Amino acid sequence: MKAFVPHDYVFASSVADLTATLQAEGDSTRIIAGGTTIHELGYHQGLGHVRRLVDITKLPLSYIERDVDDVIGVGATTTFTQLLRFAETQPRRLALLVDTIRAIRPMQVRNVGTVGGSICSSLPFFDVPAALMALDAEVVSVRPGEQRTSPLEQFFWDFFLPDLRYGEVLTEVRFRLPDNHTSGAFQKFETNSVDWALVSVAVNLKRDGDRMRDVRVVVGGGIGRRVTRARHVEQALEGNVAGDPVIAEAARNVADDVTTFNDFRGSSALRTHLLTVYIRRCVARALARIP
Amino acid sequence: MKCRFALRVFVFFLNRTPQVRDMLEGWNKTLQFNLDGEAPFHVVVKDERAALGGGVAAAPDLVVTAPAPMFMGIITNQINADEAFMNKKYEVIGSPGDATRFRVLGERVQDYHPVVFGAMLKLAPLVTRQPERRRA
Repeated sequence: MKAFVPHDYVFASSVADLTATLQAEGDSTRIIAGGTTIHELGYHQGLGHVRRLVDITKLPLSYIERDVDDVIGVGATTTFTQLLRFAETQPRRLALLVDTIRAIRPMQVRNVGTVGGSICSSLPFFDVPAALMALDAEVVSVRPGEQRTSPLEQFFWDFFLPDLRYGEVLTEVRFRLPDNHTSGAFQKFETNSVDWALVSVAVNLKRDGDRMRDVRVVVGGGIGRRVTRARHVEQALEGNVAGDPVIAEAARNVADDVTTFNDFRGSSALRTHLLTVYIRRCVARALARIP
Repeated sequence: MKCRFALRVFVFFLNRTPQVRDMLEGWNKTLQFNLDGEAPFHVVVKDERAALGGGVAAAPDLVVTAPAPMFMGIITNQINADEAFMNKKYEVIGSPGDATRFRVLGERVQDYHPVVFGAMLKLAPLVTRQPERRRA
């Protein structure tokens, strides 16, 4: 098999320069930051006619900022390790992110993989997008003369197909820091430590007395074309008294939210069963984290 | 001929659906379809217009190789494309993003023309029905 070798490898000098290059050269140019997805695609000859890679790691997009309204802005080239260090400063409120990034077990991927790259790859197997969607994140993208903000849950169209138009670049992810009565959890099932998840579940919820509020349940992994909110599960949990029978009953609704399929890694029935089990565990763990 | 006809209908409506034009912006591609049981054909997308041609394209960006009945099952929603792909029932060579863009375009065009495609999807099981084998 012939490995992918770019004809040209350049560093972008500014975001404006980057968007102009992408608009002029289109599909023959691809952005590279951490390089984990590009490497995978190149290895499997999935880069089509890409000839030039534009490295964006020298752009000032590696940052985490918290404003006065507790909105956190994460730059596109922020690595998972940087995000983990930040999340660990808020161990309860950002427990979901801590769980998620710790679950990415190859240390090399944690150290070079970027938040923007994991989102723009638009692959349901990736863990960080599921967690950010559970945190109700938004993405900021720019192209010449235009900037827009869109909810992350509307950003994924299909495998490798994010809602990015021609020449458009994702620059930042934003989410509000959850309050003191909110926490979350993330779990996934994988067949080995470097495999992509068969199923993954991210939960974020608020505890209001003995009731559950603002519940967000997001499922990913090998369950379909994109990371998806399990709305039937959320509706069954919302406002209800937290308790094992309620959670177990609600988790069963995931079969109405996603249609899993059979392949050599597992049957549809197994995936649906795993989703049910992991949703139950994540909700229970998130609740246990809130005093 | 069934798949080629189905894609010809799709291309006709794709060119008459301005709501999906933003997905075609800058996407100049040639998609080759080698379907076992039909003559090869290709779709060329250029300057936000699509055209269907017969034969093998000189330098396709994406090549889909599949048994024709399976491809027909996929485009008429009778077969799960992801499940079939993962189980190696058909092959796609090229950028996976191009393949999924073509799929999403197909779904959106169907959504914007529900009467035409609704009727086609209803008729699909009859059109794709395999003749029963005679008992020995």
